[in-house]
Amino acid sequence: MLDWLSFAVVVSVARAVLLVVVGLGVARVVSQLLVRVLKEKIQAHTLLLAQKAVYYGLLVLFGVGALRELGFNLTVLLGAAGVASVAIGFASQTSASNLISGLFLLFEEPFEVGDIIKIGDTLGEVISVDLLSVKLRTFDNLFVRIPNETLIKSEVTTLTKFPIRRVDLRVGVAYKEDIARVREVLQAVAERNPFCLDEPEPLFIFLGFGDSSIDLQFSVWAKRENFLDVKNTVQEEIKIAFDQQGIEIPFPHRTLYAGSVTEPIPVQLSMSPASSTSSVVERGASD
Amino acid sequence: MRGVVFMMRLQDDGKTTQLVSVGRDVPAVKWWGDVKLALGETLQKTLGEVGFYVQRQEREWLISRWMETDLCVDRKSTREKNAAKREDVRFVISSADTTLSLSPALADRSVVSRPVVPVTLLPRASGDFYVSTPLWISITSGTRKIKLMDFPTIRPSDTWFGPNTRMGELCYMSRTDAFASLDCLPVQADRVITPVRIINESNESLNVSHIKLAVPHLSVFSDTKMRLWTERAVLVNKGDTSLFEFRVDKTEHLTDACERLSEPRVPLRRNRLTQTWSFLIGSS
Repeated sequence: MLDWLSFAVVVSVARAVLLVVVGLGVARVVSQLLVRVLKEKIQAHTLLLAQKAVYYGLLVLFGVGALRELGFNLTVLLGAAGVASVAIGFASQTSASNLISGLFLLFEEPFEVGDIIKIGDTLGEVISVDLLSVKLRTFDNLFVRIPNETLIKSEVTTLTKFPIRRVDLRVGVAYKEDIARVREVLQAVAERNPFCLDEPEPLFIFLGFGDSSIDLQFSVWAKRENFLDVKNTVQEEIKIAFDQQGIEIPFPHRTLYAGSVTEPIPVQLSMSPASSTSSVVERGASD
Repeated sequence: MRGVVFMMRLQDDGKTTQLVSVGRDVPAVKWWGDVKLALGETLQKTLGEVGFYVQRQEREWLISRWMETDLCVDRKSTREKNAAKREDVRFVISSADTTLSLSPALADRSVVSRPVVPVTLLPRASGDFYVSTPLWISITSGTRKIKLMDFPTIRPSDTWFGPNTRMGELCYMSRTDAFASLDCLPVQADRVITPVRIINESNESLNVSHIKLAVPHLSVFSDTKMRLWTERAVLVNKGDTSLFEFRVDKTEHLTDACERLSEPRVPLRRNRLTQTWSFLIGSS
């Protein structure tokens, strides 16, 4: 009798193990099949979620089957799971918060897999959006895991949402320069650069009178993939164009002013043949 | 340099067997077609702003191209500097592939043309215009015409065409005179002419400030004068200025003597017409 019982238990365990093994295989095959069928039809982000839902859904089904084979009463188990989930919920508030945040992110879709996003100081490519966290690959090839709760609470910038981007360049020119001419030179630089979009047209903003220069903003539009090329080439071309046109890019100036009461400091330049330096500054007789 | 064709064929010993130049105001020359190259033989061409040569090497094609405007002519180390600006590509082929084909093609994106002088179509009026767009060169190998590469004859400028910066399409920009008469159109070997008919069926004037031509849907033909053409693009404004009906017609210029040189890059599907051409004309 005991032998028969132990044999029945072994058979049940074997069946349960078989169900789990088959379940793993079926879940893997079906989820991969799903990816193959829907690859061209839906977004990578949605596809990833659908794949995971199908995989874990099938695993749960086969797991439940395996438990039944082992003789567990599922009603009791579900009841126990309900009680346990409350206890686990209290114990794992952070995880639950991340899970709920993940669901919100899922419906809101502020970004998807493959997008470039910026959260705080972290900039990187989204490689997966999961229920608890979002995984990024930064441009220096680091793996960053950001909890979904953080994403919900903080400001997220998606750099690849729209096909074109504006490149804002700050340019300072000397006070003596003719602003209309500077504007013409900048427009010509944008027109010559093949990466700059003709439309939307470049933007020219007079920012104000700075300490040492007249501050201008010159903004050009570019295809998002060309953003860095534009940023580099346009600034280089502006420098070359300004040099060719004799437009001065000033550096900070300091003017010494001794006040209206004090006499100006007398400065005299004289050539010294013996010295290797071309000029010597001599102090005045008052010193 | 734009609009000028130089054709040159170099042999092993460096001898030039062909040299032809074509300017804007002289008839165009046929530069497309099949060319058989012996081992070590080089075919060199300059078309518009682009120069390139193709050399048959042991089981491979070496293609080198450059922008003529980038080349230095007044410096001592010209050769080294110019070599740096050349883009070389090698294609491994079977030994039987000795034939190379050159053919004209159209841009891989839509081209937005901005008439130099804006045009206004009065209510119930229609107008015929000739718009030219930049030419691309397509190079294929062997009798099966396996595509090696294609590239533009000018450095095209990008532009955005759409109602705002979120919705729209990335296109190439081209300035055009939008001539109403073909006689006014200069012969330009590096441009393809598209006859455009705009029909304004609405009761309001239509200000045509931009014309977006979805050239990937058009074919290239050559006429007896070796000018390059596409089919006619007919655009009908039914009243809503943001929505145009579009169809492709054969024109009277495409006679039986005309030869079809290249197929559309993207075959036009009827159900995509409205969407593709919905912002065809920008009204200002």
